[in-house]
Amino acid sequence: MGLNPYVPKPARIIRVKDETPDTKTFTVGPNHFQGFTPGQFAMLTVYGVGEAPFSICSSPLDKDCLQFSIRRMGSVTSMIHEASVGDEVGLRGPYGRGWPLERMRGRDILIVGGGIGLAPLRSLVLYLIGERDRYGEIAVCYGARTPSLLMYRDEFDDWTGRGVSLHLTVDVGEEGWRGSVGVVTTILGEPRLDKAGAIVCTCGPPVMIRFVLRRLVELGYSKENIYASLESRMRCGVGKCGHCHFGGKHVCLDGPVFQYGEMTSLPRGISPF
Amino acid sequence: MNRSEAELRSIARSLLEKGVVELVIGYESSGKSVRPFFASRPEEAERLVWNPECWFNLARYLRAFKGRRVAIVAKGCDGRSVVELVKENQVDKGSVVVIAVECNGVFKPAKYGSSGSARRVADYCERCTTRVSPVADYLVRSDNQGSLKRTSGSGEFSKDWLSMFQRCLKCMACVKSCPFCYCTECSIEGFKPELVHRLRDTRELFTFHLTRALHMAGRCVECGACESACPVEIPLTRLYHELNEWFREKYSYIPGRSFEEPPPPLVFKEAGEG
Amino acid sequence: MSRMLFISEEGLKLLLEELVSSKTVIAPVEADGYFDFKTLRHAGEASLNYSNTRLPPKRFFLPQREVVFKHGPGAGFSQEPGYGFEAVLFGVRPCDASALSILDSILLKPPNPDPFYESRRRSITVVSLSCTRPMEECFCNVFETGPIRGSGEDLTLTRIGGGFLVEARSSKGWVLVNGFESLFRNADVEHMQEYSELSRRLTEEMGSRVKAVKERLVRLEETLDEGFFQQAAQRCVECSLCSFACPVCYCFDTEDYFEKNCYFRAKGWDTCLSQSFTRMASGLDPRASRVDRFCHRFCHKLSRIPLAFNAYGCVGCGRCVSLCPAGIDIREVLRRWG
Repeated sequence: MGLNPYVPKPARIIRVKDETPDTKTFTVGPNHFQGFTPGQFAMLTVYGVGEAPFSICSSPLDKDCLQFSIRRMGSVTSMIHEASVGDEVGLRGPYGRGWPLERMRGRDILIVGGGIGLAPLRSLVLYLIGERDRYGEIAVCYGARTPSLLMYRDEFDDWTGRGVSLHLTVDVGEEGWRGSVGVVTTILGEPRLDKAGAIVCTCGPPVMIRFVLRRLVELGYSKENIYASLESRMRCGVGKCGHCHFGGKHVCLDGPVFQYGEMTSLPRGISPF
Repeated sequence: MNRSEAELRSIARSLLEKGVVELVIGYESSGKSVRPFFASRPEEAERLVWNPECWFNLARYLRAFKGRRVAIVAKGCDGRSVVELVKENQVDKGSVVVIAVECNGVFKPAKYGSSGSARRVADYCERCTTRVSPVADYLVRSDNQGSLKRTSGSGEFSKDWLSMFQRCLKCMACVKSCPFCYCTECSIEGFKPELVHRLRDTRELFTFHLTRALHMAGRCVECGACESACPVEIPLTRLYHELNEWFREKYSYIPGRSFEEPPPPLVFKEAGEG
Repeated sequence: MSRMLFISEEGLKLLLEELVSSKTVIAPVEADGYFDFKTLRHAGEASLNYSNTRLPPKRFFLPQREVVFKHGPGAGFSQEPGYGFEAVLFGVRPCDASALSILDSILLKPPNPDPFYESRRRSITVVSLSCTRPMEECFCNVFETGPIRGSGEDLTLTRIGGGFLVEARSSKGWVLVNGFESLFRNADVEHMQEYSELSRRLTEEMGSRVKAVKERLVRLEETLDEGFFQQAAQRCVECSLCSFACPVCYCFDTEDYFEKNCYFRAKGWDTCLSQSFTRMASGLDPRASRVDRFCHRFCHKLSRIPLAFNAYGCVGCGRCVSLCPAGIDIREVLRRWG
């Protein structure tokens, strides 16, 4: 019998970090996915419950571990939130199409994240700043509902120190917050980039993606340079179970990163338009 | 077209023309058979039919229209299910118009890959006690006053339920065709968790059917929709009949007989009360 | 078309007897008022004059439920051995056989072919039997899956006067023929004439039923007439009978469970009509309404599977048409968009 794509590879939780009240970042090792592309995802098995897809949020330049930022939502995520260092998990992947790295050399890059959507984008940011001089201006526009829900806050200084311009906003301010207040579309105009040539990568709640795409086009970014990461329920991750099949495309095979033009032909319900 | 169909169509047309109801839920022709049909305009009433192919229990659709004014074409058993559904608060009697049709029995649907071609009146019809619905805003009499030719006793009924349920696919057609199976998430459906495993042990599937039969006791009107929907010919109505008989003996209750009779499981009486 | 052979009625009886004695033979058997594939205990049990089996032979290649791996304590992961058992699946209709080649396009597509399905396709020899009396619900002509030959079988048998024409369709088919050489002889001119005549008659008959051009079905995506689907979706009771009875429907769900200290994952049949098919843990659901799911079923079979896998998701067997409790009929969609 041929290679069984349904069998996970074993890994252990090395570190657990609280990012926000309902989100934790899990570092697992060993890294079975050498050389994956930022934006790809893994099917993570949490023993006792089942499997679910999670974007890899660490950089492929990190050879030893993989990281996943997981929000407590359903049965699998609740179970992993109870897990401790040393617990075993299963990994399958890397699956899907990641961010279009091959198009980014020498260009300006705009990264737009909303809430936990920053996870697959973090993988991209870390990768880009790992080889910073190969790219033009890099700007990150990131918004969350409140300041305490901003992910990776402790890494922001490192990012800005390594040549990334960071623009933050929250929907609702809190005491001590001195930054912008408003949805992420309100700060999209801030970065000074070559709008016509810049590659844009975005991820976040579906409603955010919808408005961000619209605003990006208004600001002058080119449609063929805009990419978004969409989410879907998945059971197999390899395009066989039918759960992520929309309009002739599988989110696990042809996505989760889709180009603007591809998304216009996706059916209503999954399409951000 | 027979006389009862003509009468049915005229009633439906009038109800729609006068705006008494938004929809008439009935049957229409579909090839050699019939299928459910939702008439929303007066001219669509011409498509309504009534014949022994009308096995489906249309009361199944009523709960989706709760609160809206609809009319339903109901056989005897279907009408009884409307009564029980009202008692269970799933249907608002005030907004349902029942067009009762007098029924002489229905055929089980001719299904794909059947061996044998004789069409027989369904055996659950042979046990029928209510040819006309006990609740009726309109009554359409049958053209044919006699009963459809019924076969005399189909022989000894093998009670080998275990081997019959081995055929079950867990397709849920029985559950979904039933007016009374309205749990939003049936405990045996799907995989998370899979309370009833199909292939690990077929006896588990039997557990589901028994559980369902118990849930049906005193509610099932033996319309036979489950049995007719079943792709592997499991005589489900027979099982529910046995339980109904037990229920009837114990509580002197027959489901769907009257609005006033409360379902026994809902009645609490102190010991010693009558 | 490869060299056509002929086997007499007697010859076929003998062939079946020989096969039953030496291998596992699964063929249509009559029981409980319908035909279904069962393992033959003796050749006489087979009903080869059947219309079609109530349920397709899909379950021999894609079981309703199967374990895909187990993880023992201290023993690590092990792949569950494939179901791959040697058998001859005898008397499959061309439409059902074509369904297998469609499933091949989907489940065996690189880069991650399904190894369980693959091992069964390899170990089971499929012998198809042409339809000479198509049923009322059949519309195999639209998808070119019959009525004489399908596309997923190893051997095609076509009944003519005195016996059967035999066409080996794959190396496995030739192996079967060569194993019983003495029973076969070359088809002669009369045989071939009868075959052509039968083929012509059946093509004409089938062609007069549902006239649809399958290549046009991709228009479903653009011109999705909500009103049409809304009407039919109103009747749909979301039972999943169409998905289970369909020879092509392959979508599956997975479940993890513990048993006797081992951790298992099983996969099994699922239906896109179910309310939780695309529902995410957050509650967001791209196909939240029944009409959306209902439209998807048809779009998936008729235009999305072709877009993704280059094969049509329907073979025209007619099971869904006949078995749907609510009388939903895919032929209406074909007539309108095809």
